[in-house]
Order: sequence, then C-alpha cells, then structure tokens
Amino acid sequence: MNEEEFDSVLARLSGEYKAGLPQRLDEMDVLWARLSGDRNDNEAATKLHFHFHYFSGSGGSFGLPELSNQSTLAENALSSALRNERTLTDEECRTIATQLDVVRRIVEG
Amino acid sequence: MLERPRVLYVEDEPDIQTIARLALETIGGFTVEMCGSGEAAILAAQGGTFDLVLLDVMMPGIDGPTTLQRLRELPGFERVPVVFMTAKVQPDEIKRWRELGAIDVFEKPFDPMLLAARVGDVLGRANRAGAA
Repeated sequence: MNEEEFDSVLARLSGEYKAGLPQRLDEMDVLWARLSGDRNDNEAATKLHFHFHYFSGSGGSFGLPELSNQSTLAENALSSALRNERTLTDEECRTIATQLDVVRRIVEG
Repeated sequence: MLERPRVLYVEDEPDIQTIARLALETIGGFTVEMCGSGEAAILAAQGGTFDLVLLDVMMPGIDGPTTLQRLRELPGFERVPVVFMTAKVQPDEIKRWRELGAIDVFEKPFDPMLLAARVGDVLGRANRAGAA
C-alpha cells in the first residue's frame, strides 16, 4: 500500500468513526438523564464513563483531538466517584453536563 | 527473509483495533493478532508466540494489569515485552505500570502515523536488553 492509498484508507476509517459518534451521543444522553435523576445509579455512571473513556482514547487517532481532550474532563469526574464508590458531587455533575454539551458541538462540527 | 515481528494487540474497541492494525501492518510491517479482551489474549498467548504485547489498560472483563499478571504466568511469556496503552498517563500511573512489568506506556489516542515507529523502538530496546 503506497502513501496515497494509506491516506485514503485512513480518511475512510475516520469518516466511519465520525459517522458512529451521534449514536453514541444519543446513548450518553439517555445515561446522563438517568444519572441526573439518580446520582447513585452505578450502572449508568459506569456505562457513561466507558463512553467518555472511548472518546478520550480514540478521538485524536481519528482527527478529533479536541474530542479526546474534552472527554477526559468528564471521564475524570466519573472516575473519581466510581473509584471511591461515592455519589457524584454537584461540581462533578456540572462538569459532566458541560462536557457532554462540548462533545456534542465537536461531533456536530 | 526475516520473519515479521509478531504483535499481540489487546483492545476492546473495534474502531481502535482497525486503525491500529492498519498502522502496524502497513507502516510497520508487523504481523498483528488482535484480541478484544484479556481473556482472549490469554488464550492467544497459550496458542502462539509473540515478540511484543500492546495491552489496553481499561477493558470490560479482566483489565490490562490483571491480564499482564496472567500472561506472565504462562510458560515462555515471562520475558515478552508488554506495553500498556492508556488514555490516562499520569507519572504515578506510569510508575505503577512499570512496576507491574511493562516495558513502556503509550498514551491514547495514538497517532497512527507514529505508532509503528514507537513499537519498533520498543522492540529494538527489548532485543538489545535481551542480548546484553
């Protein structure tokens, strides 16, 4: 595979990655609604954490470094509560809500 | 003809698997076996030989550090270099991963254009250490 072909495959993979993001965001909205209603919903917190973790660890590889950077803030907020098995604080909830909006704007371009 | 180095890559996200395979095989010329979980990696390690393992830290099921501990118990796997892949690279975490036996820690997201070169560097380092 020459450089041009490689770039072409990379561009296709990035396109596929970006096309899958809105569905993930929809799932994250549902999880955040659950968690907002019950800050002790451990399952919702764990799943939401995995979504942000996925964005953190992958965005930059597909040409969206800000998706990674911004997701890390929400991931850290969720990590802290999950690791310490405690309820999310008001500040952590604000961080998650804010970063969810920021991530949505990045995904929607 | 020299045999291509064999890399076992353990990563649960299919998107990342795809782009990593592209980078490692196309740019680096490595042979890549991809596993989606720690459990699958242990099975693969029992059935094959590898020159290097790239191991995601956070995965559903058994996580990366536990996977490493189990890999180290397998005959012939005691000295295979293992690199952790993680989105969180804090100095204390790097220290912890190294203490567990990782030769290096790569930050995610990785640059697909540079991943193969970094893997090649680690392999060279491991080979020099083994020859010394």
